Amino acid sequence: MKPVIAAKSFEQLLKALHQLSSKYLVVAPTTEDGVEHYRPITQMSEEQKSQVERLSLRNQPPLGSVKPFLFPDSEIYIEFTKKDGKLDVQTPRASVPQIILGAKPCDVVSLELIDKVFLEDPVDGLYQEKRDNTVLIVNQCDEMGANCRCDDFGVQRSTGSADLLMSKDESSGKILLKAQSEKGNILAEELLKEGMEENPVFREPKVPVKEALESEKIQQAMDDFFESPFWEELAMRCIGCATCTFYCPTCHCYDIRDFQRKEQGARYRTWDSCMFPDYTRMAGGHNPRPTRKDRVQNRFYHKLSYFVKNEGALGCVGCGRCGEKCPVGISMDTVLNRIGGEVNDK
Amino acid sequence: MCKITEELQQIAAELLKEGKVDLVLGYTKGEQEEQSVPCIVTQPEDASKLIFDEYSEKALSKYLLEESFQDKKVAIVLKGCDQRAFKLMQDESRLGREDVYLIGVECPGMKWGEDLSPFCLHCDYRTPAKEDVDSLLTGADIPEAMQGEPLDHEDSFTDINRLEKMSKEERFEFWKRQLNRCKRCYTCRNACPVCTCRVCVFDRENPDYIDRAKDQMAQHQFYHVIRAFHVSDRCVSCGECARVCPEGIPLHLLNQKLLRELDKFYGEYQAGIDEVPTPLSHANADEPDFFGKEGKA
Amino acid sequence: MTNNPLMPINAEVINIIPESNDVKTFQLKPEKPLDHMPGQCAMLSLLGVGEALFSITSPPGRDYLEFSIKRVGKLTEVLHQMEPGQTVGIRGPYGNNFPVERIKGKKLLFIGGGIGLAPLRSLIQYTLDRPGEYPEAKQLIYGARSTDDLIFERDIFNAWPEEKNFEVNLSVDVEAPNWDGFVGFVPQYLEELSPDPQDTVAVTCGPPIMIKFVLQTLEKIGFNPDQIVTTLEYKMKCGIGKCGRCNLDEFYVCKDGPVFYLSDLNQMKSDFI
Repeated sequence: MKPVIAAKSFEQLLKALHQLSSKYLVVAPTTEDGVEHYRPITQMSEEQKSQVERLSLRNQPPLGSVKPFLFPDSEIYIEFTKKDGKLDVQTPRASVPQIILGAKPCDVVSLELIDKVFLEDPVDGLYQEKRDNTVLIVNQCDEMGANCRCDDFGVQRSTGSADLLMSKDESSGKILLKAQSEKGNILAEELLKEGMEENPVFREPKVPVKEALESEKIQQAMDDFFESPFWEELAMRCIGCATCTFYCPTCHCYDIRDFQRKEQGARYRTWDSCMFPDYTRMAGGHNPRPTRKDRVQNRFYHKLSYFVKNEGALGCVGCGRCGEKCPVGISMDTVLNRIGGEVNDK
Repeated sequence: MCKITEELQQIAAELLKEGKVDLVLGYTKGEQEEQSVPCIVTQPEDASKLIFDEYSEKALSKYLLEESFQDKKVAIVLKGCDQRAFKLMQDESRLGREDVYLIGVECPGMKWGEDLSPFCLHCDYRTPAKEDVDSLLTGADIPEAMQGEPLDHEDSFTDINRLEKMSKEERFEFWKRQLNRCKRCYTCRNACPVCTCRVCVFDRENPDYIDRAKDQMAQHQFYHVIRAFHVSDRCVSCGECARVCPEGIPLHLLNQKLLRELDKFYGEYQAGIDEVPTPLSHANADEPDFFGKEGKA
Repeated sequence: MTNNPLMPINAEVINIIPESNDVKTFQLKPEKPLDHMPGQCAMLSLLGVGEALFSITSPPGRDYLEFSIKRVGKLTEVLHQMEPGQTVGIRGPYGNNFPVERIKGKKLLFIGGGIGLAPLRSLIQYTLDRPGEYPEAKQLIYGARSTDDLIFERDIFNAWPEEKNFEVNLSVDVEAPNWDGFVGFVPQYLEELSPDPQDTVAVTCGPPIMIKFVLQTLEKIGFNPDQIVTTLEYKMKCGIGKCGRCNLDEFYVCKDGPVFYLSDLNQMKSDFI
């Protein structure tokens, strides 16, 4: 059974989801000081709530991806107190079920790419628990946004692990949801109880069919391109900040750190960036990737070559965030246009 | 093609052809609309890539400190604020004037979205002084808003006035919301043309004074406040910190506030124009003593 | 209960052996046994201080694990102040191991520098424990900065030279009174000794700069890249190939390494040292 349910309006959908907020953490895209992020709807102002429909149904992802809700930017996994020579250790409480409203296909595919790393043996339980606890309500984009390259990465049509698909029927203004997983079915049932109704049809989005890049071809082209002077030129332009990696929905690198103040402390993992020199610099001072060229190259090779070799897919979904936010305008295209042989002389 | 771009391309081609420099560091058209990005040209025939326009915002001077620019003869395109940053590095003995060929350009003011950058609106040093550069290119198409006298210090600091009117609690809430979004990507630091420490205090191995956690408000506050103080009297008001912040945090407000306070206490000082030492890098016996018993002088 | 592979278990410090000015060997007894092979590593940690990866220096089959740890940073500083009876966190073992099958029937040349003898010791002891499987001649060339920096003195001066068919050659970088061994760097000593590459496998571990020159010297004296095994030391955090930092091309040193044949390293596009 693939039930389709409908809300009379986006407002009604939000209201129904609000009713479920004792059971789920419900997050949706909104703006904060003009910057787009997913935020819990219970913490939104009325003004922020009014942004949710536009951003949920827009053909472009918000700046912040859904990743922080599954792989938080900092995550404590051991808490402890040391008192009078006695060590007391606790593990933080388990994650709560959550609904992510208005996730984009690119972000869903990026989670599937992170799955390949974190859910491979030995399974990362911290991630798996949140992944299992998350219901993704995904709207398929009808078109591509200005910086989107998802068609190149075969992402636009893909909604594999979406739990519910969402689309708007423009003529009636109805918001349609189609369940496509067990978690989606359960949520659909719950939403029916909150006043949504069954609907005979789902509006399928207009998805253009474009040939995606062939991952093996890109990987081969990258490998052939390793010695190119292009990398030194690119490294001279890069300023070595972590914007590209911190806004990338597929980046999953982390650091593990300890913290202690007086009697209390924690061990946590936190996002790290391969663009930082100390990412690979050892306590003794040796660094296997000492130059910015090494680091820039590693980032692009990880996405476009190593990930293909290890996981069988390109490590990029074409969301365009890195290129949009890079202070010196370096994007995936900057590299892809070169390895394709077609020189971008714009 | 505008006059400056045309002349820039000519000079660059000549410098490279005559072997006077190994590379020219300037701007070229980016991949996005309304975007210019840093560009390094090494062949005379590539000089036609270079442009200069109202999107050429990135400060270039700090690139000169990077490893890969060492032992090379470099020509660099500098707008007024960027030349101030260069001058400061020169005065602080970070680089030598004779090693670099400076191409000064008259700046038409940089765009912030649809509008002109507030920094450019109050800038009275759009164009480097002729004697400070090797070539000076003028004739930019200056927008009307920038044709008259620059806005004075007070008028251009509108945002600070608003912040200063807030109660302490409101101000704290304001910064809390803004800095909560910080991920410490260090884009502001890396883009800032006067953040030039050889090893940044935040890059030291296992420092006890800062944590790596990305969700710790106190850590973000600490980072930004320390950085603002380190930069304070050396800020050249280019606005890069606020432009590059992916979270849209108005970091320039911290710098502007400090500049205003410093002006009050030490008299007006413009880094990279006035002589060094900068106000906070030396002390005079008759200076106000903020930490003394009397409190603020 | 979340299945978190980053979660350490407790290990009791049962003995601490001072090795040099800045190296101590810690004998640990984990609350659950960790079965390891020579060359593998484990994460040791102290809550509130930090976590780091160390190679296991004891051979398999002992009822404790040994780690020889040099004082270089925050965590190792605190570890050095510990006493028997205290507890550390441990997780592992991680990584691949020395090719104990592939080297069977070969003459073995071990080349170590400084603390780099730690992983080699596990392999050396493993082969000495199994004379039937590893009957051929063995040779160790081991050097340190000074006589004070030589570690495992009981092994290198006493136990190992007494083994049949095991030649131990020692060097220090600078002259010292009563030192009758070689004075100079390990690669120089290797070149002077020039062991016969015929039917030999060389296994080397040490500081990156030493490894670099040892590899060059080995090739110079006639070893083929597929006769040379080394271990790489990269910064690691997770130990399970997920946190990203220790990759060399598409391989993760923590998971696919730390032991590599030079013939495989030569295939890498990135510099491995």
